[in-house]
Amino acid sequence: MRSPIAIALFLIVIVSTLLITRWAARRTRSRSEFYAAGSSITGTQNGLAIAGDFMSASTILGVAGLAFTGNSDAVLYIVAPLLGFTVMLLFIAEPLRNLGRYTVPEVVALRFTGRGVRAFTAAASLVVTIFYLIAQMVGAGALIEILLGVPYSLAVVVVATLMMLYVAFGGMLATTWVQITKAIVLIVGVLLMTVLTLSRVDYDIGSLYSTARAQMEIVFTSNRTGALNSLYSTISLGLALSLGVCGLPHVLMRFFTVPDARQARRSIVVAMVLIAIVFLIILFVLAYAAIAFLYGKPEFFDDAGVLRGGANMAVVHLSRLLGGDVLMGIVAAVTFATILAVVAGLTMASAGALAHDLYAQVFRRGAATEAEELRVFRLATLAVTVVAALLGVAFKGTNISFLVSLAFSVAASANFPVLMLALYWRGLTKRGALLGGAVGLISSTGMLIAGPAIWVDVLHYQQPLFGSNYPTLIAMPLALLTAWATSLLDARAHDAPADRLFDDLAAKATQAES
Amino acid sequence: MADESSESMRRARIRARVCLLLAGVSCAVFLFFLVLLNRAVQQDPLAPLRDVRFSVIGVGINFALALGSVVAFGYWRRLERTRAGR
Repeated sequence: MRSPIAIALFLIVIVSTLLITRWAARRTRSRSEFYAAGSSITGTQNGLAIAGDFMSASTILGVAGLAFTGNSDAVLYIVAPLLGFTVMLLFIAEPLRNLGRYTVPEVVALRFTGRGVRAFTAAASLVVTIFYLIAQMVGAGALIEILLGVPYSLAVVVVATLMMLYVAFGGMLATTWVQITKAIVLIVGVLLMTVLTLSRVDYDIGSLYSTARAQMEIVFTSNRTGALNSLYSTISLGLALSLGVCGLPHVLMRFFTVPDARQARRSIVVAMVLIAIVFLIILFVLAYAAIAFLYGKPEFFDDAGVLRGGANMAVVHLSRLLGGDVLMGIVAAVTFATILAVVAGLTMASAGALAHDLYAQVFRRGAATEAEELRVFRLATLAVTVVAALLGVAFKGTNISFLVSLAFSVAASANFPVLMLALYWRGLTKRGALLGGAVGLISSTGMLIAGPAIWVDVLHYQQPLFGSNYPTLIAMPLALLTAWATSLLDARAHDAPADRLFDDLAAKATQAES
Repeated sequence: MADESSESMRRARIRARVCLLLAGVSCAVFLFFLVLLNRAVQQDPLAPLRDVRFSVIGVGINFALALGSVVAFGYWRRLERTRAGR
């Protein structure tokens, strides 16, 4: 698939993002600028960046790929995250903006003395971002290998090097502007493909739907397996995709980049609108077009009848059909920009947890100087890059959707309950937060490992120990229940100073209302 | 000083309760949507893909709730400001 146009566009993406990084690096000196872009980002800009953070290559190509293979789960992937953003709007955006400065663990840690809760929350954030990062690296390697003919490992190394440069030199400002640029390019690319698709059916979307439905009758003859087949899996995946969004550190830390609560609220509304528009177009125009136009054309399928490069490549093949090598080059470049932007956001969150929470606050007990912390931040960025590249190579061929669902499940089961209880429940004790979070983390990862996707498909045992790939419906309530019960039993920890601290924080969390 | 503090506490408490109510409604509607999706798939595995209304309604409900919350809180804030002004 290698084409000079695609290579030229890839180079344009790389040069543009490096120029953004150079511009940002000149404006990034202090800790606040590194972690939170000096809180100088507007609500609309942050909304674009949040949309960019959420719309990863694996999510976008994955949704179209699911629909292309007749898997109705695609609908859940579009609808569920929007509920998460509503919950974020109601409960999380303002308190985070008003209480925190750089990272999510510091907001949770405000409630408790000692370093345990902060260390745990930082570790849970790291687990989530690393799982998500592996998924992006695996996706990046596979995509670039297919699109440019570059070897998988080299593709992973190139992506890792670029993400390290963005984050280590440009900090949050570069990451945000790379993300904003990517979101705009992605929206333009999706709209361009929509126009070309509709022009092929004389702008009659009804005709596109009838052609696609007719193809569905022919090609989707057997029942597809997916989460929607059982009520348990439907609800469990729905919970993970919706509330998991509220526990993704790289999305949450975006609220520190805006100046006030009003801009934080605006960013969510902007992000929701953009995500909904792009996802709806991808599912109901592009995936339908892929079903209508690609099936029956042997040049897009291998000898076994499988789409070349896998179902995730449906949109890329469609672009080639609609606009030849030029459009395919554009789509490939947009995908590349998407990957770069998302991995930069994830690296920012991981390095922030390592440098600010684990090193500066837990290890150095707040005694680290700003310069020292920024040095550690750069080293942490390098470490995260090396780990991500190694794991990206090691996990080559692993199901990307599964890795993403792993990140969402852990975020929904470990991060979300602790964050919500810390913000809103007066009775939460340090022990309750620690045990609840640990139970959520261990049970969600444990059930995922014991489920069919790892126990049977990866470890090759005959029967899974846990019958589903979707643990959130059990793991999240278990985490909440453990935190509640432990806090109630931990009666000695309830005292007047703790209550006063909660009241002060609750008032401060909504101070923008006054 | 103490009055100011108890006033902000009162506001925070009311706000948390209203948010809880709105989130409860959102989650209940979402749960109902999930059950509908699951039932539709039992009848026809491709139903959610074939029928665009599933996604449009799902997305629409979330938008209505999110934007409704923004408008409702905006109104509440205006009321609070007017009261504080008096």
